[in-house]
Amino acid sequence: MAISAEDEFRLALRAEVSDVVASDSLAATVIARHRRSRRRRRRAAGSLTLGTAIAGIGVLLGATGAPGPRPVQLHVSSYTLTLPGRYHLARPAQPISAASQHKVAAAAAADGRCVSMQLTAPFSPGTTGDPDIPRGAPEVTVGPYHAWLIPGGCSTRIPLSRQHQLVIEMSAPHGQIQDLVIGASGLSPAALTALVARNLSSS
Amino acid sequence: MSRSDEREEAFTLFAETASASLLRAAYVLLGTREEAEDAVQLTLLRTLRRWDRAKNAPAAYSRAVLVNICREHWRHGARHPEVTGLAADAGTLAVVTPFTDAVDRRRVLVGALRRLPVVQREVLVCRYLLDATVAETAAALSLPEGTVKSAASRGLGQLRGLLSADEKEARRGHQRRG
Repeated sequence: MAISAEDEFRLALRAEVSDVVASDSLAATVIARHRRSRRRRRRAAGSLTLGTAIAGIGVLLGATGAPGPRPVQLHVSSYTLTLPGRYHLARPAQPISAASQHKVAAAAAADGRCVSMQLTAPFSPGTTGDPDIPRGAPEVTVGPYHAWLIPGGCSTRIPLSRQHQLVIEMSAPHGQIQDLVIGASGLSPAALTALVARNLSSS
Repeated sequence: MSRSDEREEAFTLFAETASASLLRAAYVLLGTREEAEDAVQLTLLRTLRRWDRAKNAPAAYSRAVLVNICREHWRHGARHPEVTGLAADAGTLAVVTPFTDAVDRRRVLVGALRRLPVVQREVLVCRYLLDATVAETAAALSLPEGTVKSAASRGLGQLRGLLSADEKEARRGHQRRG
């Protein structure tokens, strides 16, 4: 096949993929997913299933290493949060619960501040494993991401109720979603949002 | 009719118009029908969630979302490579069954597109499959317009080269068999 012009390329490409057609019910499926997602956002507070993993991080406040001047990076899966030099990595004082479905968690602390990051297992909105977002949690835009800000003390089931949390929706394979949850104590919600917007990257 | 109903009706109209081209673009960018369908569903979901922002130019908005989702998918794939049984056996299947060969040949242009550098592939898909202008492509891909023009030109040039080489190779193979 030879391509002599842009139009010829356009026609040839379209001819090759002309049998790739979308399902008639695609729009309806998307709307149903959206409605489930909205219900999820509105569901009452109290069943945030992140508690177990956060409990594992709670002890980090006292378990610190030697402070270093260089920025500290928290890595979870392909996501990296870079923190200023006054933070230092903290070793988990106890392992994240094996029963927890959540992936690796990491943390850093300085001057009583603690920042933690974790990634939930992939889930479809409204299904088992879909962590609820407390009612009234404000939606925020963090860099290119869509997130909810859960103020500290919002849910009594979170052991570290002083922690503010940003729950950032990330896409996962097969149309699923993962929540990247970044918690902080000793930082205001606005400071946490700004910190994450500036310093969160994915590779 | 409530505001939510109006929003869903407007979105449905858009989705019915745009989903085919989005799906084809995703198919070319990602490589499999299943991945493309997942990507388009997520693209439309994100577009609906932000409909108040997207409704003035939903095609442009969804283009940008789709590109980002494909990029996220590549990044995820690069970190979590999968070796499936089918991929491992693909060489054998290509020799044994003529159906695989026929399917491969039908997708000769798509196959050549996938061998291009990512930026050129994205630009060609946006320009020629999603009908985006140079400016719209630049916006969707977060690239300068000059880069879009040069990537399109170079991409088409490379495609010509790849297709010519494939054709010569096919002729040689045909002569050997004949």
